Amino acid sequence: MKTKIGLEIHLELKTKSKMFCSCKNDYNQEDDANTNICPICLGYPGTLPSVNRKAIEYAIMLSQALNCNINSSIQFYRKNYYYPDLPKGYQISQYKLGSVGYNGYLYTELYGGKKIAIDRVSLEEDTARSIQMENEVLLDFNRAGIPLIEIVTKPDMESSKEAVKFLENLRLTVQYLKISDANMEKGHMRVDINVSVENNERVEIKNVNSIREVENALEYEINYQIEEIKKGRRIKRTTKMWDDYLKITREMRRKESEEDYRYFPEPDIPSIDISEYRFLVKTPFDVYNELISLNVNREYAEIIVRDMRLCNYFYEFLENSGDAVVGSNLLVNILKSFDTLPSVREFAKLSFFMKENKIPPHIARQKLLEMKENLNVDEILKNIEVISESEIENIVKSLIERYPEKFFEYKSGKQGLIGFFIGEAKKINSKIDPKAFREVFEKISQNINLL
Amino acid sequence: MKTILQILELYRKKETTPYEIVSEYIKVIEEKEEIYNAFINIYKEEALDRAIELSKYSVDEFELYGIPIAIKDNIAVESMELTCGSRILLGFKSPYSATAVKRLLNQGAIIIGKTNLDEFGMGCSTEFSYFGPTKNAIDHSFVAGGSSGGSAVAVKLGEVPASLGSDTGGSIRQPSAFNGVVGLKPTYGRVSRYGLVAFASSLDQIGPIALNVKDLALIYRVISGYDPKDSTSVNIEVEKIEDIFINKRYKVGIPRDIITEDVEKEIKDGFEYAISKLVDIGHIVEDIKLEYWKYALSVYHIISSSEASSNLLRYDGIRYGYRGSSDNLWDLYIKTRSEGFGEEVKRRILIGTFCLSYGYYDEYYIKASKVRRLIKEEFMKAFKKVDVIITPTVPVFPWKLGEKLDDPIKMYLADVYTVLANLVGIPSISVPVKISKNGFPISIQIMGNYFREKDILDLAHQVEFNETS
Ligand SMILES: [Zn+2]
Repeated sequence: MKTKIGLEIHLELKTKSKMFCSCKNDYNQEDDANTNICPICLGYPGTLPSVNRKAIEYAIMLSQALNCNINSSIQFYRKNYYYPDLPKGYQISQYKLGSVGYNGYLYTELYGGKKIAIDRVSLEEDTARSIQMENEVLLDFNRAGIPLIEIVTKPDMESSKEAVKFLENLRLTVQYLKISDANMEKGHMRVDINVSVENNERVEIKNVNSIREVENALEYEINYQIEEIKKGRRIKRTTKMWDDYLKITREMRRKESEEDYRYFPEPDIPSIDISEYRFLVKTPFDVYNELISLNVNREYAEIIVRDMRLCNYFYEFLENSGDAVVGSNLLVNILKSFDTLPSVREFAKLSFFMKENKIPPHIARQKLLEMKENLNVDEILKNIEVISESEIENIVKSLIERYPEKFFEYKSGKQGLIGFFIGEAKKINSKIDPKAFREVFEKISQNINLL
Repeated sequence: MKTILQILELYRKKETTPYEIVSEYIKVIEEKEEIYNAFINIYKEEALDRAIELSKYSVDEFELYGIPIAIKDNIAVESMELTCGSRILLGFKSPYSATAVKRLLNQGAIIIGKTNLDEFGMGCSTEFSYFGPTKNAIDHSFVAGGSSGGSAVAVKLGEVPASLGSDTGGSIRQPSAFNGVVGLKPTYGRVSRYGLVAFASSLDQIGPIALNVKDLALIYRVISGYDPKDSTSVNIEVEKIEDIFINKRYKVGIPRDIITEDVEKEIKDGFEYAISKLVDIGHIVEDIKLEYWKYALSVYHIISSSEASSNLLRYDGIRYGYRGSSDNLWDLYIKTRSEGFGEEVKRRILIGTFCLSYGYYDEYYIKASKVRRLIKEEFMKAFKKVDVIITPTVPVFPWKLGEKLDDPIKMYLADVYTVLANLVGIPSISVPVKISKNGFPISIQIMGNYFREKDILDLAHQVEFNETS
């Protein structure tokens, strides 16, 4: 059955101060509860919001990265409802018109894949954190007023896998822009899911706290709906909660899902002209394409782009004139598992000598694993016996003489036999570089006519 | 009764001290309060302490050195109660001061108390206060007007030489007219609203009330100016006093169609008297046509109630103020708000919530916003022809206490002329021009173009009828 999934993502921004006051944005929840508060973010009578410009800039950067149209001016709206975590009784938010970005898209794969349409990118403020105790609810207003970006997609995803891929790419994009850590466990990124099967009513799922939970919740809910439809039951439009302990979705009280928020333009904040604000943004997609254009293998490029530690290291490596092809290979296959990476200069130097065939790849690998972060290229070079080309030629010739029938098979098309000759050559001289040997072998074999 | 300028003169001549002045005013307050109820809280000790503190400084260091001022109790003053005339904020002390208050304090003013008002500024008689009505300063069996009734009465009685009020639809000008004092609603954005408890955010503005126009200008200057804490405040330089009172001749627009049969006869006559006085002085009087004023009161009530319904959501009993008793969250909200708010506030919250509701928003809020724009455009057109526009401030005289309590619509009519300036956002001043036979003053309102407070202050000064001017 056909499934349609739309997502609403809330991102806490890593600004210094809150959205509408100068209180510290205690983004990683390091401070004691209710220490970063003031009359404004507590909603005291008579206070007014003043907008954090940095948050607007971040929303513009993300809109650009998500290929959105950007409004020339933005307008805040009030979303009215009662809840103890909402100090003013309304959340300063944005509403369809006047959002920062609209009509954008994001791909599910770095090389492209499926295009997921983004409906809008808008700004709002976070609510207080409420902590449910046995008989009471504790409120921490440190979180009240932290800037949030809301990203709403069109219902373009058709499976839990696609939703996961979209979210991973979105998280990566945000991390590249350095506007949020997008750590779901810390609540930097929160996801609400809308899912419908076979054009039935859509069901909203809240309280999903990791990408894995998104996948589990979706799989559970889609299966549940399919079973219901098979039994001929009608799917109600409703809001559910993901219960990660029981691994099920369950319905929330009606009250919370059928509220009229009475949106109207926030009279305390005049519309803001943002037509002059545009930024240079580099997305993971840009970086991926850049690596591909440097002839980095696609699989390696993806691994590097998805690991910001490797990616930052790799870019520093390129700045030090490292060789992209050689470097990406070693980075993904060897360096990736190191706790500490070797100095970028040494690593760039290594790639240079490998490119020049001064250090054969098998030696480089072996030495990297030995030296790890203490990589010292001069040390490697000192210990390397460079086998001259004429010496290799001699070995090649002696092997052809020793194994004429293997050579015949090789010439007849069994190219794989080169491995046999490399093995034999290593028995003669263990330090022989397979790549150099192969080149010489091919050259000589071309000059020998069998008949 | 002393004006601010007279008090400053006494200080300069060293004939009195801030301590003596504050003591004098406190004496008047203690005499009059029992009858008139202009104040919700009086801060006698604090005022006297500050008076002593000020004696270390000289009068020439501050624009309002040693001037006692009363503040409407919907404007925040640090560590003083901020009740808004409501049970829901009973006992709530503000942890900070409004920008306008800070500016007064920076210029040496002494805050002597917080004045009575219609709950959250909603009303035009100061009868809708949890702390009881304020009585008219001319005849205490009549209403004070409102919602800044306490601020106007306190000035008229000589309890303070000047006060701050707030004006959402006439709340400074109408009680000023009812009590024969002068009141100014500055341009929207001229005075920071930071610290003014919001009633209707797109209409609210803080302004001064004083005995005469020159005193009014002194306070106006001090409280005005850009404030980064209020995103709607505007960065346009404030005029110097000597640039305001230049005795200029103005082109005065008279929207004659506005003066309908509903206007009391003697007020009509008073208005005509004002026009002839303007002509005598040498101003040019010109008839202008305004069409949309008829809708202003409806537009005003839809917009102000809508905004109020949202602004008052924060009084939920969770963080401060009155809390109803219940173990259940929703029940707690219901009890807190049912018991904490008065009837008029509840009425407006209901109207506003309705106007913003799904299915009615376009028909009410959006439509009202469109008509508001038309009214604005009409005024802008008029200001291409004339410098100022005048009307009576109020079409009626003060009524007996309790007389209109059961007929809110009739009561709302008192605001019919004053709401215009709030909807358009322009400055407007109410100034008495003569005394009627019944003893109540007759006032006109003078509306000026955006940020042209100087025009209306200058003109008001030329026509004001006042024992002290
Ligand atoms: Zn704050």
